[in-house]
Amino acid sequence: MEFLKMTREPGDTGEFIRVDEDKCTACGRCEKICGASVWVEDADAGIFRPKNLSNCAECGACWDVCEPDAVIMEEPKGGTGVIFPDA
Amino acid sequence: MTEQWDVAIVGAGCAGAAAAKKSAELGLKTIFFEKSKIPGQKNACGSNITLWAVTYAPYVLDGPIERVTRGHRCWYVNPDGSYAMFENYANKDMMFGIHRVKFDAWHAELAVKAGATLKTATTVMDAARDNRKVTGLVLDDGSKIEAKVVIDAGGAHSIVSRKLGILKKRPDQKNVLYATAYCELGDEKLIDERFQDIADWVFSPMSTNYCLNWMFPMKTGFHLGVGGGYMTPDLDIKEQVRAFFDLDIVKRKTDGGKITYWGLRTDPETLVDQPYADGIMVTGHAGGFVQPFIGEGMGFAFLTGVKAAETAAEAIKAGDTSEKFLAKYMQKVNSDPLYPMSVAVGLTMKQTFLGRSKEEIGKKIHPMSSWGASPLPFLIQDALKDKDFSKLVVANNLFMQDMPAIMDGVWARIKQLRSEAP
Repeated sequence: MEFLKMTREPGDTGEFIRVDEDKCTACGRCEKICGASVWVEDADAGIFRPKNLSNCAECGACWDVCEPDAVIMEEPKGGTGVIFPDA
Repeated sequence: MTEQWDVAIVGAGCAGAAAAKKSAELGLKTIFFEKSKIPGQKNACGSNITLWAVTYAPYVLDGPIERVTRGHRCWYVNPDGSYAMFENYANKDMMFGIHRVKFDAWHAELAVKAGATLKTATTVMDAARDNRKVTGLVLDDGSKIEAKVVIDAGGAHSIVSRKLGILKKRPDQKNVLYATAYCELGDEKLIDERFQDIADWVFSPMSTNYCLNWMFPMKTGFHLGVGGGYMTPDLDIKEQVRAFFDLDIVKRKTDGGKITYWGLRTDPETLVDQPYADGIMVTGHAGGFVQPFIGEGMGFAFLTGVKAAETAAEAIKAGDTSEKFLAKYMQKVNSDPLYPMSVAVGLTMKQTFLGRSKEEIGKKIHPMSSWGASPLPFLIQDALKDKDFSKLVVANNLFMQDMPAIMDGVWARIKQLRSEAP
């Protein structure tokens, strides 16, 4: 299995994590704290984006460390989202 | 027409299922919601129920336990590859290893058998409100549930408590991030050989930020805490995970095995300011009822879920579900004999370690108590330096007591609680 790759239930989660582009200061704390490599720098736009949302472990650490409140974190739709299976 | 419930609960994890079961047993019309298809699918848990946790929900001993551990092995590993290991074997059942996906489903089923209604694959998106008072829940399809009391057991970043402003951001030293994994060896005999009935706790400055790593045996595989620590800007969790899998003591255990899943979770250091408001109580991880340094989470979830349900019953009977009445919830939690002590233990460990560099901690190779990381030598050092001998009293109380005798006492309490159970 790939390093820190999450397992997901199939299905459309919806865009449950988004960046508020006006608030993002590109400090990069989201990218550094994320063990699932969700956040990627968009240098042209001068912000970070949750580009790899499909690998999100839904831990919420990015929301905690974002001082300017640029991380908008909701919830995946019921029955979708990450799972930690038995085997 | 909207159905009226006595209690509506967010989440069917440890706190949610415990609250739903108790709530239904107390005769309350109870519904609980779980966003996963099966309870327990989303977790990144150490997956071991401690002896303390059993006192809060004694019935869990009847659940699907994979392996029982009766001792601890604590490894102190330094960057130069040197290490010290202390093995403490109580020869009494200490921790109960489970797979959350099996255990949570079993636990939720107990609540359903007691009369609670469970709705899976349903995400709760908000609390329904009438001015300040919580009156129910809003689901992901937009529909509303009305309830006299809401219990939030929605996990570390519960959307309900965040939207109510109860759950605020906790970065830096206020929060711990853990990366977890499961290694399948596929062979019970290999686990017997590599672990016996002993849990491994690893303290290596390369793979943790002042917290710990772990390897806890299950039947044919084992759970691992592979990296993490305080969420300060220097935390590089991916690097910590790499470093952990590189440790020889870890390679010995993972050899021939396969990582079948990964996880990430946060453990806040402190409670939310007030885990209750008009019409709502917040339990488990959502309320911050976690001690990341000693790894206690499931137990506090059981405790707070049960106490919230008991408080809900009293509030509904009294016709008063106001914030003022629901303050009884925290009184019940704090009056539990073990809860305040475990909070004190976690705080002492944090205070003792965080003021020191990782190098200083790494140099201290010393025998450890069965709690895992011990600030014992530092407590002694501080006591001598500050001439503050109250610190030695703490050291004695925490680490030099007669563990087998303490465990006998806890087991006696568990047996009594199980004999009293409905």
